Amino acid sequence: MSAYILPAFIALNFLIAAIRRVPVFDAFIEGAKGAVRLAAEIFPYLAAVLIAVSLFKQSGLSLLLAKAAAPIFRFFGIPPELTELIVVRPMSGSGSIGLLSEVYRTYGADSYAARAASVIVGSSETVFYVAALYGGGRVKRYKGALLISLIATFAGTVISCLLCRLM
Amino acid sequence: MYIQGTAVIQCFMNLLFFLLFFASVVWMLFTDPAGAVSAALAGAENAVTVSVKMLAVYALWLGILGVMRKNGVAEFLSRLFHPLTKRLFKGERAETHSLISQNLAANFLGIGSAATPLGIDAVRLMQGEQTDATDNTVLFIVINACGVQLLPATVIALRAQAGSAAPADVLTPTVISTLVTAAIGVTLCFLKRSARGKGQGK
Repeated sequence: MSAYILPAFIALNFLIAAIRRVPVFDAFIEGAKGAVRLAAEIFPYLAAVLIAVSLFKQSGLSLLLAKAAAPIFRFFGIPPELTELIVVRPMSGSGSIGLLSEVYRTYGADSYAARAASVIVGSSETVFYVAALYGGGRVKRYKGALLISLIATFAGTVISCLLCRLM
Repeated sequence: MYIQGTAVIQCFMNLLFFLLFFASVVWMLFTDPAGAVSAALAGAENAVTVSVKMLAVYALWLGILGVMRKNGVAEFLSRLFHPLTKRLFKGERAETHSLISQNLAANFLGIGSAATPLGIDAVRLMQGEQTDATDNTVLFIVINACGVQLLPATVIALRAQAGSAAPADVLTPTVISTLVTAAIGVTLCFLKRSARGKGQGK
């Protein structure tokens, strides 16, 4: 189903453009002109975040933090086998997808841990990445945006685990 | 007390970056000194890879968005979401509302890659020359960082590959969870605004 959404969306756009006699090539070029500038502006922010995350994971500190946080997570009803995933989730998209596959492999794709992990990953975003990207260049002080996002994400994690137990 | 609290929050990105970077490097100084620089470089290389991928994605989606701007679809989407954005993002220009609406629409459809350039432009307009995030920017970043995605396509595909009997049975809890998360984020933004309003009144 989801495979159809994007191509259908693009085709529909071109169809409407043709009906309305829009010069599509010119319109496309005008939009795409912004791509290089955008990628260049975002790069330093992306590099800073990804370097810090890479160090954090390679040093083993992310695993240590996950172990230390496990009792707190258990208190909130989050399965302890998911702690590293939850620590990594707001920092790295590819990292959390990797850990998600590991949960599938270790506990089975239909286990409670796997279902909870799926809902957690599916219902959240890479908070730091989004903030660095969207604020890129313009925002120096986030004025609470990061903290609020992290609190909401954690609340969402607790709710995800609860929902998986009920549904 | 309150001023100290906000000072820490304002510096959150700086503080977090410092902690992650410094603690990791110091830790590796004792455990794996040879690996520290290569780990940092691996992160930077990842940033290059991601940026090049993003450049490709931007070229495609900004191009499509250019077409959408000319054929009236952008206008249609912004009218669709206008009642919502008008209430959430007060005092912004029509152009900003249009970008925010398109960003939300792209998020809902699960085209995160198309949502990003729109979101960056929206933040640019909301910020103007200011470097401190405005109330509307905070709200906008929170909504995007809470991931209002309604179709977790990647997760379902991964789960199917891993041999799940019913890979899509996580869909309902995911949608509920993502909406509740966004609602909590939005509520916290407005709570923070009203708390600050009272603080200034005193």
